[in-house]
Amino acid sequence: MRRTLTVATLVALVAAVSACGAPENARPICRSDSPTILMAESVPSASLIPCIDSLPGGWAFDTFEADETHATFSLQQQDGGGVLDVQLVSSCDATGRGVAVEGFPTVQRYRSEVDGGSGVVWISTFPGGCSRAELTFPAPPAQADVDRMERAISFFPRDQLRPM
Amino acid sequence: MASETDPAEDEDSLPETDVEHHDVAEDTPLSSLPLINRRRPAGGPSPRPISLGATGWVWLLGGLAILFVWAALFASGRPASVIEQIDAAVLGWIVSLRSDPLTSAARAIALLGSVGLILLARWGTVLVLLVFQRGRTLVVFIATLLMLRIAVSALVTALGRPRPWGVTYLYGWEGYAHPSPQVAALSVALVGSAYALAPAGRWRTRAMIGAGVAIALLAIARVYLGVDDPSDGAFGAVAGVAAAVIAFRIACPDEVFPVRYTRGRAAHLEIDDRREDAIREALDEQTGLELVSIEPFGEESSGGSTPLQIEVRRAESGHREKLFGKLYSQGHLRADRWYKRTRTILYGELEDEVGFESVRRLVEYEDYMLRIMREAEVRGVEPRGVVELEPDREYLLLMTMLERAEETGEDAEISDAAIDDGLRIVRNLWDHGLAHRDIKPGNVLVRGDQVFLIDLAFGQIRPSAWRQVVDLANMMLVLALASSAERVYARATEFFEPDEIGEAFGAARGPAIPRQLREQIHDGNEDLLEEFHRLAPEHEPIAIQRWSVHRVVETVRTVAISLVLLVLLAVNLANPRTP
Repeated sequence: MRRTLTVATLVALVAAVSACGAPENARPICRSDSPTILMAESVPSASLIPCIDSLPGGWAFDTFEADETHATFSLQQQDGGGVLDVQLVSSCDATGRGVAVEGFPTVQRYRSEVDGGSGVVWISTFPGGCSRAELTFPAPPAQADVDRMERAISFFPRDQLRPM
Repeated sequence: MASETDPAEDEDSLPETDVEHHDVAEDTPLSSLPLINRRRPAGGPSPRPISLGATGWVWLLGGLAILFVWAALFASGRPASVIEQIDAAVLGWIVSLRSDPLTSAARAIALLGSVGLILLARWGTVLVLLVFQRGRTLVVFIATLLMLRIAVSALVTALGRPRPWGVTYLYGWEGYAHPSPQVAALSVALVGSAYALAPAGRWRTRAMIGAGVAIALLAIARVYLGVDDPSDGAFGAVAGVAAAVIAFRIACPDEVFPVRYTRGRAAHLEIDDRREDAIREALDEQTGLELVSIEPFGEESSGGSTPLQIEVRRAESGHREKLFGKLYSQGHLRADRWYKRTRTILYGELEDEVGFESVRRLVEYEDYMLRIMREAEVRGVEPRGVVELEPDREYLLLMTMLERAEETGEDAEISDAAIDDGLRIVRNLWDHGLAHRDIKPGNVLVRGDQVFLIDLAFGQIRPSAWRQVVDLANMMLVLALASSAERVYARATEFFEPDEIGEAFGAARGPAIPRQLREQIHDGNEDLLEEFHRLAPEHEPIAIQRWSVHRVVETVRTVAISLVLLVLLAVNLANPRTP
């Protein structure tokens, strides 16, 4: 019994440590914070860091990863099964006609459809970096949903980061 | 204090129906357990406390200190300013030393934190522990690695400290930096391996120094390469080392689980100077006996305790006597529990497969069985009492030494009188409602026409009829190894009904026959069981498997724990880039 209690306590402790704070540091919201700083470190040349301006209702942050070559994060739609994957890299190939993004004059955004029309890919190029955002749904989405998610993806300027 | 009792005069003694009495004791001038007037004062310190030791306390305090700092880090969301300042100063100085040769060297050193090398250290240690069957150490080693890895992974994300800002990194990295998962993983793997594999003393000191150098080099190299701040590596190292030191000092202390590579079973405790001194002191204090010599004895036949030959001298009279001692520790207690648990899962409740709660209970039980068997006039060894070496942790069970008695087996032919004597012992057990439960060549000794039954640790009072017939079958098999099935069967019919013998061989199957006996039958006369089956009246085989609620619960619990461990393992292997 004593041993069981000890093991249970240890597991609870580990679970508690695992739970506390993890979401906060895995949510790249557009401000100077650990996730955006780490993303900036992963692509030191990038002048802008892709981030989420305001989280659309019904969506939640899911994964967050960064290493010495790139950074990625994803959002998941809690009911509809939609997924948004955002990646920051130093460069990427973009084809088609780019459009300017409001508020970020150095950004050119290229849009393309995912095969079958079940999603959209936005490639945004800017000095020193590139972001690729892929929005997919189990079935072709309503245009309003796509527009809402496009507005949610924003950028945070590197020169406004206040590293710890 | 035991006293000599005459069972015939004691109405509360076990029944004595048709029992022929024989000499049961070796001639000896020592009484069962000598009286001694000295006693340890109440509240005194434990004679041999297992402690963390100075190093253990240092690392425990170090671990607590970083927990405190982490709590502060988490509360404010950023490192304490003093740590930031120190980090910036040290990082700046180390980075200022960058040169091509140093960079190449640092990159090579940083490989110490690579997944491949750390996995090599982990799996190499696991392999050695498996080969040497050191299950307890293996569990502690793996559990420490897994727990630390999970804790560090959780902390790294929870604290969310980015990599050094504004420094060009010259090496790969992934995720947040504090505490450094690479340094923590190398620390716990190397220090854990040193505890698990290196014998205490010179070898372990060398291993620890080597580990310390490797950990320090890795931490410095990662700062030089710009992927860690100095405190990231330092805190990772403290966490890894503290976890290993505390886990091994508490859960796998050398006093109980020593690292040895000499021949002999892992269950046997080493009689080093410290333990010998403890035995000398305890014998003197508790029995008034002076220790003359002590040495391992008959280890090959014993897996459940550390058997010893002890020569003692009575302080007052100067009389010397050789005693047989069985040293029991927590390791033996755990081994006994696992043995019984495994048998419960594999076969069901063969008989009373319930583990003891403490080492004291284990020793008390065997001492009690020695006395019960003596009262039942089962010829064996005389109990000499119990000596406490460490309260609730280590005890020495003393009994007389059987001189000139030999283990039964095919090498020594025995007389009809000796066969009768062995069979009479089983008859005696039956008549007194007792069972030995481990009758095998190593526990049936012969001296002339006399047979002695030793090692009563598994003895039982009021056993089932199944257990009684199993004892009979095993005794007949042991005796037949040193004679023949025909001779033993012919003598057995003088003591038992033919149907009882048939029942015995209907029950003697699989695990009901001790492994040593099975092996000797296999090596000596593979047809022995068949010969008895031909001689005895036919009897339906008696099933070994027994299902019960206890067996189901035990099985489900073990499977559940195994699944949890597998999940932990899977979680740990899920990200192969981080060690």
